Amino acid sequence: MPSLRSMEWDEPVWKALCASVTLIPPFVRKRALGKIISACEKNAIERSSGKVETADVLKSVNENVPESVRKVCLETLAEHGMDISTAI
Amino acid sequence: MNHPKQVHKNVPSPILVSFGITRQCDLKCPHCYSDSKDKDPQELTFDEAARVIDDIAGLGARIVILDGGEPTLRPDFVDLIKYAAKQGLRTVAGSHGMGITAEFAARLKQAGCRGVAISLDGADARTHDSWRGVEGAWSKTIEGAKNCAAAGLAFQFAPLLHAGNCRQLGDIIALAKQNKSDAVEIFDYVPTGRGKGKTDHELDTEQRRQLIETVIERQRQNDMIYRVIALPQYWVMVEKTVPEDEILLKFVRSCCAAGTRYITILPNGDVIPCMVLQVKLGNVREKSLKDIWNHSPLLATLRNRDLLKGKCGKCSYKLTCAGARCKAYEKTGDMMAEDPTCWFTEEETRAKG
Repeated sequence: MPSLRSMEWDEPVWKALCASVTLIPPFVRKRALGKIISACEKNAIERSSGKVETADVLKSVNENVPESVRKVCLETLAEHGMDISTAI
Repeated sequence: MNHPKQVHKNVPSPILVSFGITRQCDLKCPHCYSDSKDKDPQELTFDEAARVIDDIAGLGARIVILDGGEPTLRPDFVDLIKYAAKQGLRTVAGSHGMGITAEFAARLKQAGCRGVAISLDGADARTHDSWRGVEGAWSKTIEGAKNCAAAGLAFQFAPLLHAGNCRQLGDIIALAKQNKSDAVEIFDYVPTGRGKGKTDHELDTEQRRQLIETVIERQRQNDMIYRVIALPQYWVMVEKTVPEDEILLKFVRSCCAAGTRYITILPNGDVIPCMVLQVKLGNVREKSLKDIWNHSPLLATLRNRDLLKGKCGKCSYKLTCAGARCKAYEKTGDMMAEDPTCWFTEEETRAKG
């Protein structure tokens, strides 16, 4: 299976996103997942960074995760040590 | 109706709330977590139950499961489904399925029910009926499932695996596929409720490993959604054996969510962290659910994974597994003790990967 990531990620941030994304119901997850990851990477590039970090993920989750599960996803990111105060 | 959403700082909303609306049941299962049989004289009225549903919605929960006992035996069950759905909750039911006629399935769907979890503890009538204590139960349960499918009402089979039926898991899954089940939610037997002390029914380590390996193999085929309940080592095995990208695409995270993302309300209003972690947190007649969720010292303890003891406290998977708190409690009386059924060595759980 080809990797879902195409650039470097801050590893704890990636782990937190994984934990968060697996809470999204599978029938919407597959479509959402590609969008979330590519938006995270695009956000990092727009910051002129070669590495995806917390801010990139928060922006992507806010814009790409279905509204019905967004709050749960953000809370899960927080459980995994991410500072989500700028996202809510 | 709009409800103010959960705002208490640092306390995430529950994802799922289980609301047992009656203790009435016409089966005689030896494991029954709620020890259900007759109607509880203290059962919440419709108005009280509606207030609880308001609170659940106000907490920001996504899903409420109305179960019991057997919820279809409560005369206002469909009205409660309708009420919960109107509050914007994804409303599902937990039932033995025996009372779900074609007409009833259609009523449930029309009321806003989004799905039914149907208990099925055997791939054949003999196994299921002997455990459930009523001859003919299996046939009626299968009929109920078929009626759900025909009505376009999503359903999942929810087998409880114990020492006497664990070899049938593959056949139960086959039955689920044959009947167009949307998911299979597998429960590991926990000796609590009516099953308290009945440890002979528990799976042993090898059976638990086998269960997990079977589910992982099936989920990798991605033919259905599988969840594993009361066996959080499932997720440790997933993380250890499945490539990360495949986990992201196919697997549903399953860990001990008792009191962290999940809570149970009993028919008399008592609130406990989970149906199999029976530690009373309060009663909704005395305190609001929101107050209990946000301020219970027991829940604060349960949510603090740094307070986990023994092997669980040292485990590098403690955020995603945390051990089955119910099993720790049943064995030791301490819900933060190590999960006595965990088979991983400290070396195996020291570093992820």
